[in-house]
Amino acid sequence: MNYPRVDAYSEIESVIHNFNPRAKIITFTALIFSFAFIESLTVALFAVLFSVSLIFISKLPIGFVYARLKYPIIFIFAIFVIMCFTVEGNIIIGSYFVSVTLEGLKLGLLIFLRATAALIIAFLMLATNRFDTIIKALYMLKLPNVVVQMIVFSYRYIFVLVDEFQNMKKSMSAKGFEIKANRYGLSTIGNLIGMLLVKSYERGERVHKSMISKGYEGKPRMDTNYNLMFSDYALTIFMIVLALGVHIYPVI
Amino acid sequence: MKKTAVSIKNLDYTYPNSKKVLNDVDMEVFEGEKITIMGPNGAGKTTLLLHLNGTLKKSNSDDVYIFGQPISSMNIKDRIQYVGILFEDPDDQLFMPTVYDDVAFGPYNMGLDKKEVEKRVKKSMTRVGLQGFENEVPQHLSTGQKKKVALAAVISMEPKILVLDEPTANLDPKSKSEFISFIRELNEKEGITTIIATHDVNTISYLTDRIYVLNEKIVASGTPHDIFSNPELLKQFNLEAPDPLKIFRMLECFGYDSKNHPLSINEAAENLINTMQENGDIMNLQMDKDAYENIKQLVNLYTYHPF
Amino acid sequence: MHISDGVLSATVVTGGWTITIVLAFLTLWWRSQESDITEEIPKFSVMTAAFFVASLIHLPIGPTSVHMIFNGLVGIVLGPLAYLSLVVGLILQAFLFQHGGVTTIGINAMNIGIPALLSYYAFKKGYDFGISEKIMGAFSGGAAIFMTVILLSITLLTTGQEFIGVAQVSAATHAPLMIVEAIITGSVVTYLSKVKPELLPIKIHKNEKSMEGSKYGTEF
Repeated sequence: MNYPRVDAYSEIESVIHNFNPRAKIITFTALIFSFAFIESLTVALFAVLFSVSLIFISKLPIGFVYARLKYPIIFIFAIFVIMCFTVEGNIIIGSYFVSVTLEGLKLGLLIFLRATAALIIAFLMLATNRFDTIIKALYMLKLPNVVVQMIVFSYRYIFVLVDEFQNMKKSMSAKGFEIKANRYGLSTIGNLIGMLLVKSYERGERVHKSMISKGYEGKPRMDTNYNLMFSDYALTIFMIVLALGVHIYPVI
Repeated sequence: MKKTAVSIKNLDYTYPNSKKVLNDVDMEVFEGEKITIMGPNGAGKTTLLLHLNGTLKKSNSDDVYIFGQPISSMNIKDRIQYVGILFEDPDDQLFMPTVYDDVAFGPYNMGLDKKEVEKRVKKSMTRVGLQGFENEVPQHLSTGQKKKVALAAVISMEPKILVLDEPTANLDPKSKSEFISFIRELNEKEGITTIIATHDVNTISYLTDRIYVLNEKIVASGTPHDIFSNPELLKQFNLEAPDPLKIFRMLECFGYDSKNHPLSINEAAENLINTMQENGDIMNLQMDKDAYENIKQLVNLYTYHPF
Repeated sequence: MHISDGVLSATVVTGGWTITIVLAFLTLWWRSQESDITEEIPKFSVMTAAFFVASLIHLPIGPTSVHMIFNGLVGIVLGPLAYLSLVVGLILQAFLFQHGGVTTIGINAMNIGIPALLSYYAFKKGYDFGISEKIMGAFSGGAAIFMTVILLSITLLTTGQEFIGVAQVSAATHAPLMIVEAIITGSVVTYLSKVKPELLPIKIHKNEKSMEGSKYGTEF
């Protein structure tokens, strides 16, 4: 288990990296929601091409992009394949047991394209700034304070607990244990998780005490100063127009 | 006459669902003093420290006083302004997204404005030798760096009393000595009172004027020499004396006249030089008939490995 | 298995967000009636991180490997707050791994969160009824996955009848997960009942631990 590092290449200089984080979150989220519900195949294809070109504009290393997106795309592709074979309609290829229908192919492809477009946009939103910037942008966007704090602290302790869990696993494998899906293996995993929960519970209590000792009253402040520049406004308008456009265009 | 910084009177504490942890604890710490609290595992050291800025609160009882004021009547801002606590595990104390946010956490809670907070963060980070690390994220720091950031996050509140729980645990020797120097500097240059709980007796002499031995209640108190010259007490509470002290007591068995017992390597060097200078640059040691028995007795008295 | 962006209809997605926002606020409000939320935030966050880390375990089953959901376990340990914990977990999963989708956080939270809440009540009721924590843990852990599959299928079929195939495949892949999570949840619960019973919504046995107070009988 490695650290989840979607922001490994957040220090690169590019138009997307330099886009104001708060504006980026708003516009990219708008794009994700817009792309996810595209109704026409051609527009969906355009959305994919648009997102792929954003990858190039962002200058992220292709190997990194591939490694991060491989599994999510395989997963979406599986849905496409299932749809091809299971949606009823006019059979285009088929034998007695399995058959591909035109309707299935079309719907599956539409889903595959719009899912891929949305996925790439979501990935770019997170890969082009440090994760703490995203959190701070959420904070500035006035998401409920409790939720922001929970995201902040949960994110922080994932790293601590990955290490802790890793050590527990090492000490178990030092005693000859390996993870297997049999009865004994599963109940040992159960103990491992139980241990992790107990340790985390105790850590939670200590973290709470250390917060109290620094005057925590439920509303921590975070410093943020991201000033909006002209280019940010321009990009924001462009993205929003695009997000609306993919839905208005087919109607015209 | 020195001011009393901390005064604890008849402090009792019981955690919900468990036995009594503190029982009738009395303590008095003067301004500018360096205090060490020692005691076996589970003696209540951490619990006692948590009482010092009201992190563990008890309703309606006035048993902890900070500069003469009962802590239960102080508001949060005053409490954290007077007493800062550094916890043992820095990961418990660094919970914000970036180093800057963590060091600014206390000052913001004190109600300071952005400019003042910025100034304090900068000052604290410089003080612990990590200027320029403000934008780092805690998970990318080493243990030593985390510990220093955690200290910066406490001193940014500019507390008059600094409470440290096992400050040297898990640090490599260099980080350890750096860390001790910071704390000493804070004490000597700024008159900050320090209260430390530790098992690390070999570094203790740099950070101690007086020792309290805690085991649910205060079982002994005194200067480091008083405490460490009482091997029965140390053994009873699973403690040990610094190595230089043990070695110099051993040298005495061979006829060395050490006058006082050094607690650190630096004191040992001084002691050796002074003694030899007094004796015409020569050190006289000899093995007499009782020496073997005496050494054996000494080792059994001072250590947990029978000789 | 969480639904990705682009699969569901706008109506279903909107419905998911509405239900999730309502339930998240409701459970939070509920909890705040019983205890101080500012005190719970740090503890709750560390526990959420712990469940997140636990769900990263990949278990080899046959030719593939599955990863856990543990919504039943989250429910048993966190009670009503489990819903919010799962929402935060899904946000982090979507953000850090691009796993599960952004538009679908609402509906995915609903699909795993409602079973979590039901598991919590099932566990509590069953335990009060005198059934051992191990059996109730296994039952709640397995039932949570079962309910998730049902809700997942309903979600897909509400979007369109064309999704029947996807629903069937996902139900089939969840079947082994149901057994695996039942066994693991049972053994986690057994472990917790021995080591840290205050993490479970059970009353501590009077004969064994009568010295200990009655407070902290439930989670946190």
